[in-house]
Amino acid sequence: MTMKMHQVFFLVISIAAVPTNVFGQTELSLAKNPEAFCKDDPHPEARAYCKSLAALLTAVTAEKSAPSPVLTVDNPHFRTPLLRLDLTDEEATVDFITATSGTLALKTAIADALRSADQARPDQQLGTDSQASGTTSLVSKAGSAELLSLALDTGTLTKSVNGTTTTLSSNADQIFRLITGSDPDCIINCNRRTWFEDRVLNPTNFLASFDLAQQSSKTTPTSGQASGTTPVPVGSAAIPTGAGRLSSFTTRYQLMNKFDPRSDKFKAAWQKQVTSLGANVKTIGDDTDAVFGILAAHKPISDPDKDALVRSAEAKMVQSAAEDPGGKKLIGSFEEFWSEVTSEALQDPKLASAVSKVMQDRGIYRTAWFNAVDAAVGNLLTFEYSYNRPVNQPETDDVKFIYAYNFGASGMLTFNGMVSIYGGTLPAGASYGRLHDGQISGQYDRTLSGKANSIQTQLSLAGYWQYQPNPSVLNIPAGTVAPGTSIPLPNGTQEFVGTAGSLWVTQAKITIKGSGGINIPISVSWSNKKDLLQGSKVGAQVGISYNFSSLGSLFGAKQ
Amino acid sequence: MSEVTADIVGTIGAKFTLTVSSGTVTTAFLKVTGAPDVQLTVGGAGREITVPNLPAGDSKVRLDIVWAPGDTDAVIDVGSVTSGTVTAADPKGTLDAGKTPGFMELFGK
Repeated sequence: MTMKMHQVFFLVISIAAVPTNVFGQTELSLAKNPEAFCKDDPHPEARAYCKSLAALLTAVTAEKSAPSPVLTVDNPHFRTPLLRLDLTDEEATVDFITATSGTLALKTAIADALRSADQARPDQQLGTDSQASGTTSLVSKAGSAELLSLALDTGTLTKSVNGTTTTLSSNADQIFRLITGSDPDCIINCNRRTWFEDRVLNPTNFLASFDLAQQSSKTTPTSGQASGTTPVPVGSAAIPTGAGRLSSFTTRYQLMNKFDPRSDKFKAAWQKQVTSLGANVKTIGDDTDAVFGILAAHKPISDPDKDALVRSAEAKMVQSAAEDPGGKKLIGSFEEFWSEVTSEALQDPKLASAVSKVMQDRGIYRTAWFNAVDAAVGNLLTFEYSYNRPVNQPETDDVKFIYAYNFGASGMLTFNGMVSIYGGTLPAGASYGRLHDGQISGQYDRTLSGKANSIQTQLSLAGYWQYQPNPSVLNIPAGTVAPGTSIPLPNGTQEFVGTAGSLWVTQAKITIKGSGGINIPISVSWSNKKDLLQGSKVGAQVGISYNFSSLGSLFGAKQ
Repeated sequence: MSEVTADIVGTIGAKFTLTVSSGTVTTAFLKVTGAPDVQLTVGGAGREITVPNLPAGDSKVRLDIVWAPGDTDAVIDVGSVTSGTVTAADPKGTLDAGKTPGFMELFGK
């Protein structure tokens, strides 16, 4: 039994996506993973302060094996974790904001802020590519949707069939974090990021395109002629099974240039980016101060005798850690301290908006940080595989490389190189080979309105060259009769249509980007021919897409 | 907060630099309860912060930090001491990689 290329690909992905514990990996012990006891705790504050709780538990456990253990708050080895667990101290505010953001922060405001930042990116591919019957993209971009996007495109670029295509695209890691309850919007050193997430899921994106103008159909045997005086032997017929059909499925993997964060080259490039991030971290700091200012106005932080409360709570946490190496007692003691310190402050209506502001700051910083990493690393290289089902044409497997060079304010250049081969088994007596075509294309994108505007416009100019060694192959649908006759053509008949050789397309496009995640691309194109038709053609394409980036918090993801 | 819990302990009025072993500090502020924040000078490629005059008792330094990929937790230490006596806690304080702002506890005596 043979497998098609896309089936092999999905099998590999499926195996790679299986959780590692399925293969018999046992639960990590606390010694190997000190945060195991708190990282999945149902209390958000226990998760937010998990690193400090784990540090305290580890230090206390180590102290117990000392010849003369000192299990008091004055032990200098407990100093740093206890400081971070002192909820009355400003140092604990960073984790306090993380802990309470799930209940206090205005999640829609955070999502809006993130989406606005995401809209400034010129490198995202949200719709389908040039091979679809409804598309606005002559050249595929290297980047993808952060979480999820839905695009609707109409107008054709290289195909003769003019249709409407809807495309759903998503990032594998964002979906994984959403499903597993991790926060898709966490910043920088997210908890629980693994090699598998960093190297497999995060760079992997999926796009599924559906041709809305085409019915999906199924060939079924007929049971006899229903009318007519002349017998017509029709053995089978195509029946509609649904409106809209899957026209292509694409998987892309971002191959960022390999880099070593310790290398002098990366350090020098990173230092250039740090300046641009300075304003972001200062805003986070100022707004974190504002949150502490609100907390400090409430008891017990405002109480002059708070030190006694803190010392008592710290002693209890040390004692709990000593009594229970599993950490559950420690979490219990911390929860008591949390209730004592935060119960009054959490009733303050000003606190919610202050926490929301910091979370917005963090979200914007996160986007800026990743952009800075991209800029410091250099150029993007993306590998893309597509399984295409064009209307009345043989299936193809397409392999594409996408290279992007970002000039920053001066725009971005993107190049594509692609080979398309016929999938499955070639019919007996086929007059064509496995190769369908090869393509090279390039595009220049530049923001016209400036990235600070709430509504942005982006200009794109693109050129495309495709070479076919043979004319296009057209599948003759079952039940088609020979022209001028009532003689049905045998099922599986194929005909060459159009011409071999070069197909040229140029395109000019304006994309209007709203701050809410809406993108409206409008373009005009010229081509010297289409895949099935000869003669030059001027066409127009229009689309609309919605980028759901960073809406993960709306699904209740953990911080 | 006290001398026992402080990351850095020194004589009142001491002038010195604080160092962090990781991350890049872009802005830093000296915070004393009841007094306006004082912006501190950052040098040494974002790893050295100058404290011109150590206040008496408890004070804090807020560090706005940009963390690079691969950065580890930063160790807090004392750099050069221009005047007075200043020592770092034992074991030295740390800042969690990825978190901003970070805080240092100071104590002047």
